Amino acid sequence: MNRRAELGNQVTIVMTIFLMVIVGGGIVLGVFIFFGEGTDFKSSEALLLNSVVRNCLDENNLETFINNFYEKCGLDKEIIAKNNRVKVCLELNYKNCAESTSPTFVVGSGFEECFLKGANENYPRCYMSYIEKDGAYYSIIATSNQEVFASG
Amino acid sequence: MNNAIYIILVILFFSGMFYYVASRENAGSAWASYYAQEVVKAVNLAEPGDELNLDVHKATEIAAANDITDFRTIFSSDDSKNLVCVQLSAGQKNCLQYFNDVSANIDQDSIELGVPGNILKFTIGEAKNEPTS
Repeated sequence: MNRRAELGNQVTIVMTIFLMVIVGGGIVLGVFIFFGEGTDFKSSEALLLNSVVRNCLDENNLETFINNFYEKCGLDKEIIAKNNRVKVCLELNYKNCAESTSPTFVVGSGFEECFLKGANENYPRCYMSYIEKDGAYYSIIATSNQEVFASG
Repeated sequence: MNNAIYIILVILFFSGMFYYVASRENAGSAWASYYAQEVVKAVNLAEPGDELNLDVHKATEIAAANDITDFRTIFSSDDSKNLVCVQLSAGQKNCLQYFNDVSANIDQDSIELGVPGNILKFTIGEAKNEPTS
């Protein structure tokens, strides 16, 4: 028995398996990149909600907006309370608005999470915009923390 | 003997890779999530009276590949809970809630086949609230 040849054969098999792991890992990575992680629904929902709130504030006077928010903006109160947050501030930048304890209007809390660096996938996504109304500007922050869930 | 080992390893490797790629392409859960998101986005933008027509031909192809033969069960809504659900493979449905105060009215008659493609067609209605007991 040629032990050197035996050793060479064994090393070759190990190298082959190693190469297969590398190539296989590359294929898995490529497929993952191609098909992607899926769409970022939280961000798109936050953007959409911000747009709805912005249009609603633009179309109604401030008192009506505050007192009849859900009715005038066409939003479901329970769903908003469960999955979203909304905050409107007068003459404040986004960060100050998120930290403000006396906003013009607010649903929910914890808007400081919008500015956390390195936030993981469990954090809500935020969308912020300004609107000028009656000579003043309002900052609007809308968030979404809804994820697809399995049912039935 | 060594050649046989190599051949077996190569066959196993390529079989595994092919299976992985094919499973990702037809991953019913991932596509169901995608379609649930798209339908909910459309519902959130709509107003009562709007008729929505969404091309769901790809969804029906994926459902068929996952042995779902009755396309009428793919899309559904529970408007008392503002829920839209999509099922493209056997098992659980993927669901999302819409924040718009309307009814999506998606039921088994919402799928139209061969329009030429398959279309999800539904009309947005006024909100339905959960009955209070």
